Amino acid sequence: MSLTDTSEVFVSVEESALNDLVTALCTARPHLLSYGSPAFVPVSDVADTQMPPILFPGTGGIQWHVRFSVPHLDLYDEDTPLPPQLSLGPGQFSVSTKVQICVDCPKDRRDPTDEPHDPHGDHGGDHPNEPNDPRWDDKPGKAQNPVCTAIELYAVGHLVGTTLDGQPALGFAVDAVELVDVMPDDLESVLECLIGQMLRAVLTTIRVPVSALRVGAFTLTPTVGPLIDTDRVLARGNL
Amino acid sequence: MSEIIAAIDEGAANDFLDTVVAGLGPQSTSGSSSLGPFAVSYSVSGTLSNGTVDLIPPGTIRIADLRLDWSASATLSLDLGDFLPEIHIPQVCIDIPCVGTVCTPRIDITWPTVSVPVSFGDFVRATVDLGLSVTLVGGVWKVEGIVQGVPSLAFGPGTAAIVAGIGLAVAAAVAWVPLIGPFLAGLAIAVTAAIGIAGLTGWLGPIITPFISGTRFPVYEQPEWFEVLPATSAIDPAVSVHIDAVGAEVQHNAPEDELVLSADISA
Repeated sequence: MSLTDTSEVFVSVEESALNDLVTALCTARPHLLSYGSPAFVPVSDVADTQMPPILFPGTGGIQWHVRFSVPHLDLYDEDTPLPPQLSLGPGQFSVSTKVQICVDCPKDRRDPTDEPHDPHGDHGGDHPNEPNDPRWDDKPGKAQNPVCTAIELYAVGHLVGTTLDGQPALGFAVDAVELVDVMPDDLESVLECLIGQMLRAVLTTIRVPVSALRVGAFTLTPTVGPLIDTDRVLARGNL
Repeated sequence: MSEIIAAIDEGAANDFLDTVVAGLGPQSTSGSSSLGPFAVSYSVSGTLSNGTVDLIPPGTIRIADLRLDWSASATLSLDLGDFLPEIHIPQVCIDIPCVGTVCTPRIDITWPTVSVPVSFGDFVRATVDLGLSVTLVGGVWKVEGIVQGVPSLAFGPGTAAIVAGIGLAVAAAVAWVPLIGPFLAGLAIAVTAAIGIAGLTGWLGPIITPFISGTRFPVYEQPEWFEVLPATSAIDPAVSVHIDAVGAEVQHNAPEDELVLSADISA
């Protein structure tokens, strides 16, 4: 069968190239993956997006920070093993990432004589950060006592057609989320709900213009796709 | 296997090259040479328009009936003496009684050399085979169609009329020359015969052939650092990927022949 089939133009992108595009986007604009309240993110910049603290009576606002690692996409069929709760069907992609969640637990509310936060100090099991991992820059900002955890996250989803600056673009929608090694189960369910919402929101900001899928070759007004074929995204349409 | 593939079918290739050829714009050249027996200085311009595209695996784009509309402005340097008869009125002497011999002067008419501006134009058609060239020069990837060989030009039906028109233009331009009146009609015919259709096409061919054979038809052009997204604010800088490799070929994927570009990228 011809590449173009009944259309005029055909474009296909292997998953390695799609990951390159997503990596380039997330590397150039890391704030798409990093959100936090002012104690962690004093100002929105290229690295982080500032959000309000979580309002709760008597706290003055709970300071928080959520950061995802650059997501890795696996297009059907399955190359990256998934947790048994997830399965990758035709037309779907899986995404694996790691999410770091930090909250500020000011010690002065418990013991005003405690030393200020030392990001390089011994924090025992309360700070499962990974200082040797360049993706996990412990950025306490004005947080007095950040407490963090990192969780591996898998999800499956499907592609959606969208637009970016008025041009056709490729978007990602999440169908199901699974966390790894979280116990007990009801805590896992709560976190999956919470983090799943975050992941969905984050992925809506990651859109790849169709022009990038063809690296500027020809022009394409899609009439078919973009859709997932085996290990690639393809689209057909007209000039 | 390449990471990115973009392909168009033959119909789309035809539409694509319509746009490409229309974007080439006019070409021009000037110089001096000989047209028939005349010295001529000229300027010629031409504009291409697309023909019918035939994709031929593994690497040929054939364009049948590629059309070049051309126009020329030329100045012919014309020695009228080459075309008109010499006129010699001999001296005549008569003897007049009581006066003596009286002679008329000998008269020789020397026809001048004149410069005659002429303008004319027509079109030619040619069938060309384009080979695909992939280059990375100065940080820019280019895929271009390059004309293979020297195309044979088919001149339009107006060529004969052009030759006759040049003859008439010459005759009109020299009408001011004293005593030339009776010779004008013959002059036009003589000029036309001296140039001839073959002479005109033989003169034009080498001038306008480079308009076709020297044209590089752009198929793809992108910087090796390809901009995925432009910068939109201080916190949203431009996003780019590196194009590591580019390929181009014509594939037969039944039932279609397709022009296929391929690329590998890295973040």
